Amino acid sequence: MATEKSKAPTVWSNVRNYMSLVADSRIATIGLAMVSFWLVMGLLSFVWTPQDPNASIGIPNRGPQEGLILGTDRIGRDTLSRTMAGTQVILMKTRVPELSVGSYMFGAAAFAAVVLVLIALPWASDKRTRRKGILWLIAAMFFIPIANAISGATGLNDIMIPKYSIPMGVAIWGVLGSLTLGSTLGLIAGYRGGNWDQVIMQILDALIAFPRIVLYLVVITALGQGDLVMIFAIAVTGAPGVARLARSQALEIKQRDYIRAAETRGESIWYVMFREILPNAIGPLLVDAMLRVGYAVFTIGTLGFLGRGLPPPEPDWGNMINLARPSFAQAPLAVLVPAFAIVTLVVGLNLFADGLNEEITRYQK
Amino acid sequence: MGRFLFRSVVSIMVTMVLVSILLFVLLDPRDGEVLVKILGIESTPEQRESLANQLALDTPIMQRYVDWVIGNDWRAERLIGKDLAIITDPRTGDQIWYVDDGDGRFLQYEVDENQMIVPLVRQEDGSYAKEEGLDLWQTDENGEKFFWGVDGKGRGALWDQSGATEFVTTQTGWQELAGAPVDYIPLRKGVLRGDAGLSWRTGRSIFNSVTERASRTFILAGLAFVVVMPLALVFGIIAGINEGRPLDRIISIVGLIGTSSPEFVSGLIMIFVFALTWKLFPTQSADLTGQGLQPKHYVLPVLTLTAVELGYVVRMTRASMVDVMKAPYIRTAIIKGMPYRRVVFRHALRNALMAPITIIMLHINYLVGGIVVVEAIFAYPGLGDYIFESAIFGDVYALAAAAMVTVIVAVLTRLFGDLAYTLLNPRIRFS
Repeated sequence: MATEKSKAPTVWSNVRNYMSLVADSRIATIGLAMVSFWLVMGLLSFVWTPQDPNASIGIPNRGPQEGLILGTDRIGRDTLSRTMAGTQVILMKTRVPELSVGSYMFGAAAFAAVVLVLIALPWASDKRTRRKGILWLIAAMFFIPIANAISGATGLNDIMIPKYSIPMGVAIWGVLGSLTLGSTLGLIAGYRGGNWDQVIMQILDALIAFPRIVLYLVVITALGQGDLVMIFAIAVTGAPGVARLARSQALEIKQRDYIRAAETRGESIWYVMFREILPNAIGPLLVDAMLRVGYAVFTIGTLGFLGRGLPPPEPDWGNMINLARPSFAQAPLAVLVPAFAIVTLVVGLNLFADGLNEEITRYQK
Repeated sequence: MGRFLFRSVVSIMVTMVLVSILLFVLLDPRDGEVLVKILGIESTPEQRESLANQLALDTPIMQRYVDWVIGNDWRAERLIGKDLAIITDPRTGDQIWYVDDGDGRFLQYEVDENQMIVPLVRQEDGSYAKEEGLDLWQTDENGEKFFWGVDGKGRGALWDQSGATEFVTTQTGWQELAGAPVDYIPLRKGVLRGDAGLSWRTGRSIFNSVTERASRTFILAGLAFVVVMPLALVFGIIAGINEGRPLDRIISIVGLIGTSSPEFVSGLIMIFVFALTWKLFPTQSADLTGQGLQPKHYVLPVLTLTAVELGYVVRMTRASMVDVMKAPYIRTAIIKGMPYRRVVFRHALRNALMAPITIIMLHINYLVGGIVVVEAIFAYPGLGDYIFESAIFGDVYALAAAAMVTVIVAVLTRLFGDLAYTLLNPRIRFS
């Protein structure tokens, strides 16, 4: 029994299996190549760019010339260097601003509360562990008030932690967030059904009803511009879609015999959800996540263009286009190069997802 | 069917309540940043406090939510002790609140330097006539004198004899005025009764702006819809029946590039090509000359929306067509020797169109999102532009009201999509 269990596919082993299919699909390989191009550009920009991306070194609004292969923007900065460095904020690094210890405590408490809710919801939906789950849910409600009270009483709000960066970009963290939130809620809704399904999907429907860009604008208006806010916005806007997909997968998979077997063995709801259902539902979720990274790049670009995107000084493709827009006629490259970057990265992610999807469905048939 | 409709309507209502709470809590102007935006960076704390009082931002959030949803005129009527009336000013078209005196006169009040209450009687042309100052003061249990009325700007107001001041905007900037109320109720009927109050940015009724702009957006969306759908269905079907051939690949790749180019990229390229280089159409769709919008103003926004939306719907139609063409009954029909054209049009098409129609209805949500960006690029005076401008300014009530409209459109189109699917699909209709 024990050996059989260890052979059962896990989420990671399935992700690895699916990723090994990429080479079989020409479309996915082309997509991966396009994405890798920007990944390499972004990594390269950390150690070397042709010019300093934030320094104005040339004559403004000029075409290609010596040392400035793709010309300059409105304030004489090198378009090529800036486009290369533009990969950083969306895919490579997330800038954490200067925040007080109190804000960190608030963040940690909010994060812990969300994690606790995600852990406790499946328990609360199972008869055997309902009491434990509800107790944890009640406990989660006190996290933020307690953190606020402590930081308010001890003056932690005045101690500032300087800004720094963490690896992986805004788009990646945001999609990981929506995957975690969405798949947990969707699995509970699909596996439990009944009232759980109704309530969870009703709440998520309220979020899905917003046109995406409107919800982003609302969140950014409410919380201000910043990398962390953008991650939050991506996670919240993406979660309902992920949840719908995870729910439909769970509805189908829960009919299968191995789920019945696990239930009969008396496995916990967590085991059934994450060891039995999730590994078998991960294929479509993975493909969907690739597409979501593409949407996120697209939306960050749009918000940057509207002047509500990621904050300066690091270059951001949408913001570059916004800046270069008034002098489009004189220096079209300053608009077209970052536009090309957005389009190729999004097309690459789409092709990657499409090719992967074709291979996965073929593999399953 | 009736059961389905009932459930849908209940679900939509719950959704709207959740959305309104979410919007209100998220957008609550808790740090007073918007006051700095309205008053300017050099404003003093007293000015900000006065404005917060005038906008009733100093009341608890629950109170403001209730005011926002079902209005606060009934609360003000109880305090004032008389009925309130809302009358359109013939000069500006704005709607202004008055106290209904009961004998055909509509009053507002102000306090003069002798601490007397001066009724301002509304005239037919919208102006007012000052009357003699009266001693209308009431006395509370502590012996303090107070008076509840409507002030000269149509806001519910509480005066006392403490000599409070307020900051008002004039042509020379912000000025301090004496004889001001100490508390305000910005009167409104609430979003449920079609009044979301006045915009902080424009000073006009949010409801009027939103309806006016939503009708313009509706025209733009309608035009885009009419252009996109037939094209998308035709291309999708052509690609679907030629699956894997060069024609399919070309349509799919062009569609993918279109969908992957954000609206602002395709919009800027359109402007560059059609407006700056060829000078066929104006770069901006705003009504600058006051002659109303001409057909030429719509061309570039509609083309931009088409570029982005077309690929998506083509993809859906193609996928659905490919699925259907693989079905056994199509193979049977072909093997039977039925003409290929007849197989496609009579057998495949009906079944293939089912999925796109529901997805198209869902897609209206994306169309609205795309319109926000397109309107911002072309300065088209629609709802999206209003949402964007309100978001930039921090005019949260206007933003919330406009966002609610987009949500209503989304849930209603989803309902229609579900209904269409049910009606088109006999398997669901008869089960």
